[in-house]
Amino acid sequence: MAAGVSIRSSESVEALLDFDRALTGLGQRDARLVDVVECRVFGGLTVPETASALNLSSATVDRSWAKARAYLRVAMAEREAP
Amino acid sequence: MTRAKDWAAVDQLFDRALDLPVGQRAEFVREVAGQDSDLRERLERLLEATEEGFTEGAQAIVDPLLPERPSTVGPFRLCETLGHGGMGVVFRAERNREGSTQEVAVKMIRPDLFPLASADTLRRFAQERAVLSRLEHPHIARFIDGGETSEGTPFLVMEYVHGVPITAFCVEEALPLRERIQLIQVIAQAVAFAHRQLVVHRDLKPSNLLIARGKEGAATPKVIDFGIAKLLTPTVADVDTPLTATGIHLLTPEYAAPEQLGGGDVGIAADIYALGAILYEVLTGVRPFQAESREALERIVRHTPPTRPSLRLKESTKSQAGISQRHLRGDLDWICLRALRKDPEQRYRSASELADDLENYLQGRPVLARRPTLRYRASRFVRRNGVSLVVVVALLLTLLGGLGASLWQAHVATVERDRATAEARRAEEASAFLADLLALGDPFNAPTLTPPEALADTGLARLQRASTMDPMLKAAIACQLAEVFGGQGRFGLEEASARFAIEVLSGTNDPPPERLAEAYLAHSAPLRVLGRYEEAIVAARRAAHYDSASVQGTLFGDIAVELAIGLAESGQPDDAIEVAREALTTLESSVGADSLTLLYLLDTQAAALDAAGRIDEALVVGERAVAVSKAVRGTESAAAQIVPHNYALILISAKRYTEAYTVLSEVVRNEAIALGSNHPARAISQSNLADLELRTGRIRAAWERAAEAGEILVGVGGEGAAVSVRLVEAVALARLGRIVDADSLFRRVLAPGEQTLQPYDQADAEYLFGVFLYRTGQYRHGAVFRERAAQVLSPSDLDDLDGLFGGWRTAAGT
Repeated sequence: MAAGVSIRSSESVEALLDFDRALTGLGQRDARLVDVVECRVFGGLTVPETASALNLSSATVDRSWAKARAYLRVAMAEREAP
Repeated sequence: MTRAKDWAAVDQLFDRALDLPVGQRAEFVREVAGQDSDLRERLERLLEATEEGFTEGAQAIVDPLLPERPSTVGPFRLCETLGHGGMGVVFRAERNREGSTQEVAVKMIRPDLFPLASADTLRRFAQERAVLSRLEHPHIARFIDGGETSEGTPFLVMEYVHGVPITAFCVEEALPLRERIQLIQVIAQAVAFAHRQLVVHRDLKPSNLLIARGKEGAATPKVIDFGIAKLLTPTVADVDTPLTATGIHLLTPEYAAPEQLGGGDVGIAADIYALGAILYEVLTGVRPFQAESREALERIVRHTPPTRPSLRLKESTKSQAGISQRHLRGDLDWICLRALRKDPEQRYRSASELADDLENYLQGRPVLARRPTLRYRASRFVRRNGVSLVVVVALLLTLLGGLGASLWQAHVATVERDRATAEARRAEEASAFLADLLALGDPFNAPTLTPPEALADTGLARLQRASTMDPMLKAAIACQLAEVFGGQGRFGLEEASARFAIEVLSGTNDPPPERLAEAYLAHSAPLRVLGRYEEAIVAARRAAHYDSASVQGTLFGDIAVELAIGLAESGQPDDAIEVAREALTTLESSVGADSLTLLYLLDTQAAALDAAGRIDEALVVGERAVAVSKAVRGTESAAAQIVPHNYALILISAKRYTEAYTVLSEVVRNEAIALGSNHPARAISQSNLADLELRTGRIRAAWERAAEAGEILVGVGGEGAAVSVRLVEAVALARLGRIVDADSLFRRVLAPGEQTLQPYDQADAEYLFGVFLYRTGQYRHGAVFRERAAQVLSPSDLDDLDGLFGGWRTAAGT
C-alpha cells in the first residue's frame, strides 16, 4: 500500500487557490515577503533556517513574516467578503 | 485594489508602526492618518491582523495540502526528514532488496506546483523520467524513479548523497585555491556530460552541489536534482493552469541567469552562468550580486556587470584559506566574468569549455576567456541576405517541383501504388498550402500588404496548426522555412522550424533516415549560430548517423562541414581538425566531389589549425584553400574574398604582416567593386586592413580606413561593435600628431554611455589609452590605466597592442 497522503477536498483546494492568489498579489509588491512565506509555511523552516536559506538576518525574517501574515490575512478576508 | 505607489506608502507606515511597542501603535495610526479614514482603516486592519494568530489560520488551510509524511512510498520506507524547500519535503528512505539496504532520497512535491495532470504533461513527465534515468555519471546523483502516490502527490526518488554544499565545504575545510578550482572543474565536466544528453539542470546552486570525503580522503562532488526543475516548469500548454505562477519563486535569483528571470527560453548557457556564479562564490566567499530585495536583485542581475572577483575578495570577511587578490587577478577574474556575461551568446559555449579553461589556468596555460587578438575574424559562410517574396515563392515552388518529380518517379516505378497515392496527396496539400500563403502575400487579395518575413512567419504558425497534413510534407516544408529564416538572419525562428521538422518526423512510424539527416543538419546550423554549441554538435552527429543509415548518404560532406565548424567555434580545434581531415580523405577519393564542400572543409581546417597553435600546418592548408577558392569561385565576387581574408588572418598569426597586408588589400579592393563602397559586409576586412596598415607604417591610410569602417560598424551594431576599430583610429590620430583628437576619441570609447564595454574591450582601451598618456608625457595617469589593464592582459596581448604604436612618442613623452 502506497503513502497515506492526506486527501484533497474541493473545499481545501478552493482555500489553497485563494491563498495562492493572495500570495501572487503580494509577490507583485514585495517578492521577499513571499519568499519568507514559502520557506515558513510550505517549507516548514524556522526563522533562523529561513534567514540562512534566504541570506537575510533573523530580524528581517521576523519582520517580513509578521508583515506577510498581516497582508495575506487582510487580502484573504477581503476576498471572502461579499 | 490598492495601487502600487499607494501600497508602498502604506507599507512604509505599517513598518514604522511595527517598530513601536504594541501600546503606542493605535496613537501612531491616528496621528499619521489624520483625516484619511481609508488609510487609518487599512493600517488598523493590518495591525489587527498581525496581532491575531495568522499562523494557525494559514497553516490550517495549507496543512491538509502539504504532502503529509507517509510511512512508505512505493517500495521505499521513509525515514527522517532531510530538508524542506520551496518545492516540498525531502526524506531519506530505504528499501530492502535481496538482503541489502538501498538508501535513497524521496522528494514529495507540493501538489500545487506540479502541473495538473493533463495527458500532455503526464506524457512529458514520463519522457523526462526516461531521459533522466539514462543520465549515469559518477558525479551526478542518479534518478531512480518517480510517480504519484495513490492520493496523487507526485514524488521523485533519487540516489541519496552524503555530503555538504560546496560553499560550506570550502569554508569548513579551509580548502586551498587549487582544490576549489578542481571541484568546480569536475562539476563542470559532469554538467557538460548531461548537456550532451540534452539535459539542462536549470537550478544549479551550492545546495545542489554536495561534496563528500571519500575513503581515501579525496573530495568527491555530486550534482543533485539534475533536470528536476524542468519537470516542475510549466510549458506553454500549461499557462492556463492557475497555480503554476508560483513556480517562478522556485528559482534562486542569486544563481539564475538573466534570461531565466525573464522567463525566456533556457538552454545550457543558463547552467554555465550558474557555474560561473558558484565559482565566483567559491573563490571570493561572496555571491556576485547582492541586494536588499528580490526585485532589486533581479534588476542588478539583468543590468549590472559583476565586479571582478579579485576586487570583491577585499571586502569579503570570511576565511578564504589564504586566497589573495593576487591569485584571482587576471585569469580567474576573466573566467568568472566570461561565464557571467549577461548575453548567453558571450558566455563559454559549453560547460566543457569552462572546465578546459580552468584546466588551462591550473596548468599555467593562457585561458580562452581572453579574446586572442584585436582583429575581427570574418564569418566563414556568407549567409544569404534577406529573402524576397519572390525567393520564398520560388522555394516553395521548388518544393512542389521536387514533389512533382518524386510523384512521377513513383509512377514510373509502378511498384507501390499506395505510396504513389500518398505522394499525390502530398502534392495536392502542398499546392493548397502554397495557395494559402500566396493569397496572404498578394496585395490585391489581402487587406494590407504582407511583407515576406510575415509570410514566412505565417507559414510556420500555419504549419504547426495543420493537423491533417501529411507529416513528410510538413517536415519538408519546415526544413525549407528554416532555410528562409536562416537567410533572413532570424536564427531563433530557423531553429524553431528545424526543431519542428524533427518533432514531426519523430512522431511518425519508421521515419526515413535521409529525411531525419536533413532535419538534424538543418537544426545544427542555427543552434551553432545561436551559440548553443553542445546541442549543435549533437545534432550534426545525429545527422551523420542517419545519413550513414540512408541509401544515398548525399549529405555526408555538408554534415562534416557543419560538424567541423561547430567543433572549431566551440573551442575544440583538435576534434575539428580530425573531422575535417577524415571528410577530406573520403571526398578526395570519390569522383565528382562537390568542390564547394571541399573548400569549406579546407577553410575550417585551416582556422582550426591556427586556433590550435599549429601555424605552419595552418599556412599550408590555408594556401590550398585559397587555390581551391580561386578555382571554384574565381577572384572577383564577394564570396571569393572570404577564404583569402581568413588566410590573411593566419599570416597575421605567423607575424608575416607584409604578406598579410598584400592579401588583405586585394580582398578590400575586390569587395569594393563587388559590393559597392558602403556595404556593411566590408567593414570587417576594412577594420583588419586598417590594423595592418598601422602596423606596417601606413598611418594616414589606416586612419581614414578605420574612421570609415567605424561608422559602418556603429551603424550595424552600435558603438560596442566598433571598439577595436575605434582604438586603431585613435592610435592613428596620435601618430599623425593630432593629440587632442586622439585623446577625445579614447575618452569617448572608454565612456560609451548606455552600453557597457566588453571586459576585454575595456582592458584593450584602457591599456592603449594608458600607453598614449604615458608617451605624451602624462606619466602618472598613463601608468594608472596601463597597469590596471596589464593586470588582466597576457604578455602576448600586450605585445600585440604595443605593435599599434610602433616606436611613436611625443617630445614630452621622451
